[in-house]
Amino acid sequence: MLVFRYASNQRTMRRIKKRIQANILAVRLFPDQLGVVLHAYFQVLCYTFVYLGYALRALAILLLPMLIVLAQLNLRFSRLPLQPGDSFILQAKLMRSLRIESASLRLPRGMKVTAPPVHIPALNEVDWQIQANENGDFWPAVVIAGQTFTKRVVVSDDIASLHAKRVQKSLLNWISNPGGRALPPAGPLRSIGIDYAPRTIQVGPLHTEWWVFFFAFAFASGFAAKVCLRVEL
Amino acid sequence: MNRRSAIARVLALTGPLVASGGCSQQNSHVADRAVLVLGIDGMDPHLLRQYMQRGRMPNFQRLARLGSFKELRTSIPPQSPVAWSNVTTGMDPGGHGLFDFIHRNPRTMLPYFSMAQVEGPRHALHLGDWVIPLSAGNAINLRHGSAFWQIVDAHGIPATVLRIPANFPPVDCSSRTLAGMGTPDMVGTYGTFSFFTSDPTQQGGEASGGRIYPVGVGGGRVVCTLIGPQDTFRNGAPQVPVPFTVWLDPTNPVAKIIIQRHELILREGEWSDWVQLKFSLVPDIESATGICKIYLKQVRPCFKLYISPINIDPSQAALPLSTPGDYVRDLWKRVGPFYTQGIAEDTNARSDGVFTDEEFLEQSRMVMDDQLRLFNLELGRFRAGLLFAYFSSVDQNAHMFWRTFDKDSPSYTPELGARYGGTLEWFYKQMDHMLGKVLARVEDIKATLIILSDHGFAPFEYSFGLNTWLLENGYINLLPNRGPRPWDLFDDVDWANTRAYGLGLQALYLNLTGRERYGIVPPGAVAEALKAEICEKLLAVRDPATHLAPISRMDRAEKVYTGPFVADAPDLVVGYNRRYRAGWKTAVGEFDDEVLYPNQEPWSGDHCIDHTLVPGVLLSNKSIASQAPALTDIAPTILAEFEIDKPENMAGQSVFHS
Repeated sequence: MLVFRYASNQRTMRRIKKRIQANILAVRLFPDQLGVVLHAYFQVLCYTFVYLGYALRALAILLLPMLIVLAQLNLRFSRLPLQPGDSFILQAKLMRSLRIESASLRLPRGMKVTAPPVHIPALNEVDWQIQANENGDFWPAVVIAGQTFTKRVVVSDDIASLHAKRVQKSLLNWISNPGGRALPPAGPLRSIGIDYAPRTIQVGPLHTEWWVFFFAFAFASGFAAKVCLRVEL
Repeated sequence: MNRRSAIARVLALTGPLVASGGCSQQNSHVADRAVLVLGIDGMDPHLLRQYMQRGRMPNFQRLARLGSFKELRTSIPPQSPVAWSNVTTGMDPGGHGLFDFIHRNPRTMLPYFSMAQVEGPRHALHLGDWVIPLSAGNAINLRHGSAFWQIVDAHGIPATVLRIPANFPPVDCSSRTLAGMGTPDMVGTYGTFSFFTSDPTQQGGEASGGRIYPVGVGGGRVVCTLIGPQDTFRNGAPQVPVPFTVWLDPTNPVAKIIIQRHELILREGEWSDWVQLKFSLVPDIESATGICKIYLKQVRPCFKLYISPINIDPSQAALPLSTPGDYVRDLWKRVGPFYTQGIAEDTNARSDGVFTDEEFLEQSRMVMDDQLRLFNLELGRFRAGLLFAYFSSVDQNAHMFWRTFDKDSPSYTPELGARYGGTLEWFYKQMDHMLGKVLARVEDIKATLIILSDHGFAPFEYSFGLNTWLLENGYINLLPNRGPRPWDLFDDVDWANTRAYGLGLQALYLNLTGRERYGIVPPGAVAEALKAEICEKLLAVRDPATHLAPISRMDRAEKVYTGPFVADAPDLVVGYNRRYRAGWKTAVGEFDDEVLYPNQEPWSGDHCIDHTLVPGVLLSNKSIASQAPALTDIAPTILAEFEIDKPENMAGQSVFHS
């Protein structure tokens, strides 16, 4: 609210809002004069767009930090870390030119493979089912074409930053997966992924995802702050 | 879907009932007393004695030495829903209204499951393809009478009752109760498995307890669709499909299954953990969740995948499974997901050839583990009041593995005996192991311990086609031009010329004027004479193969039942002799091919026979004074332990008082 207040032209927004209110008043005062009513409606519509334009300019400034905050929250609250004893699938997607049979897995202590790997030629994908036996940060590695690619796996009871997928470098990945190490662009692997379970938050009978609560809280506190800080939204 | 299946597929998604708390009067005098009751379905006194004599049941031996071990008179007929209702209410079927696994509506002549019904909303608004319910749906427990825990509860004594049969939906009370036998799966049946196979020799379609889906394998990929619950928000209530993909490794016997948000890898012969599935009823607005287990039976040469019946999810129950309503969720939080389906052992999958004996055994062990986990949780926090727990494993495995140790069984082979002959004994031993823990706890808190079974067991070597016998003896007549042989009682029978019919495992009804829709037998002297005639003829039947009487007893409803529901009872209860039982087709109102034929099915042990031949067991750490205790004595016994007077309609008395 504070950023919005100083990033937007509050005085102009207040003036436009008063004009909108004046036109609504005109509709109520002269309901039997069609010309006046139509003109007032048109004015309301125009000023609304102008108002939105002023608001959007401030929102544009807020967009990038908001995206970063959301991405960071998403990393921590959208998935559950593994628990000791849990099994998970480590999925490696290879470049088309490589044979999937050539990929192998190297596991750190505290993890074991619980089934033979599943090779899916149609997707150029290999999947390993792995069991984590103790808490900690682990780095299982996929070895292919003489190169080793690790993927961080978190086994923990606490909230942790979880990167589900390690992919090649891209802008989208930089925003959605901040802090995650990218794979080399021309390497043999397209991605390595872990199927962390999604996290849901329960309030009473309602099970939902973190962002529903985040936005509900953000709107409620935003409106409260709007009144306190006398911000024109 | 045939008509009987359609009847079985009761609407499952009709919104939870609201369980309200019962009244309570604190009786501080008995508040510290503890009574622990274990119900072991199908535990047979002869087998138990045999195993005890061999020294395989040290804890049962100890209990019998400390207190008492007696045979327990069972219900008429000795079928679990009937028998456990006798236990629950202290009344016979005339009082609680359950007479068989299957009842029929005499006005429509259609069969239905006797324990519970789930109804959709009565009023709904139809808008195009959509149906908007204007009233709540309803799940109805068809057992009448007050349950012993309701009475205990009303006296302010805390009670916990786990999985007692015929308690779905759980009756109102403030105690903790979890529904048992009678609880449907998400498609509204007592358990419908799904089996996906590329085996060209396996015929697709409906099996007796599930559906078999032929699938093709292309490029290492199998695309399947699991059929979920009915969507009652759509016209015609279509079942919700859940498509899923299976990727097969080109060389390893392993597959990756992608179903909704779940990805799992299974080796051939491996079971998954519970998988939670979400069925979207109204997109983004209304959905229901269920849980299932997936078993990869085979990858090559033919792909075979089994998915268990979709159980109601204990974490988000779509139907009422417990009192208080959130108790089931509390159990889920403490022990994880568990089978909520009433009869969870998938005997149908074994009978339909989807499971081998080994696979059925593994699944059956999982069910027992679930029941033991729940029980151990409650045993651990049991200090005072009443704790009742029910175990199904002995019963279900006696049904399926009797042929492995009974050399007279038509499907016994020495190989089968060598491999599985000790299976039933193993389950008895598991119960003994559990009893060891219970005895330690009981001594610790000075509790009264009662162990009972609802009935014993007997071999099921020959099937008796009751409707076929009635047809051959002129009691049933068929409509003309109905093909070479009759199939369905309700399609092929000329009711205007039919005097009696069989429906249910032991029920025989007269086609009575004023009761049956097309009744022709006048009540009174004519009906009595007809009953006498049928009884005499059935008792005179001899099996040419064994020279035995397949039927050793016939009971008339008015002589063995008392209470307000006697008029709903079958006119005659057929008491089959040891080694005999009604054919499967008789039970659902169809005609068996022959009157008498050997039973070659894996389901080789049974108890739906003459009630005097299959008594249950009664053990206690207290001395049992009653000379011939019966199931109806259990409720009065529990009430007496808490110094509560039994209601007038309870027939029995405390087994600890002579």
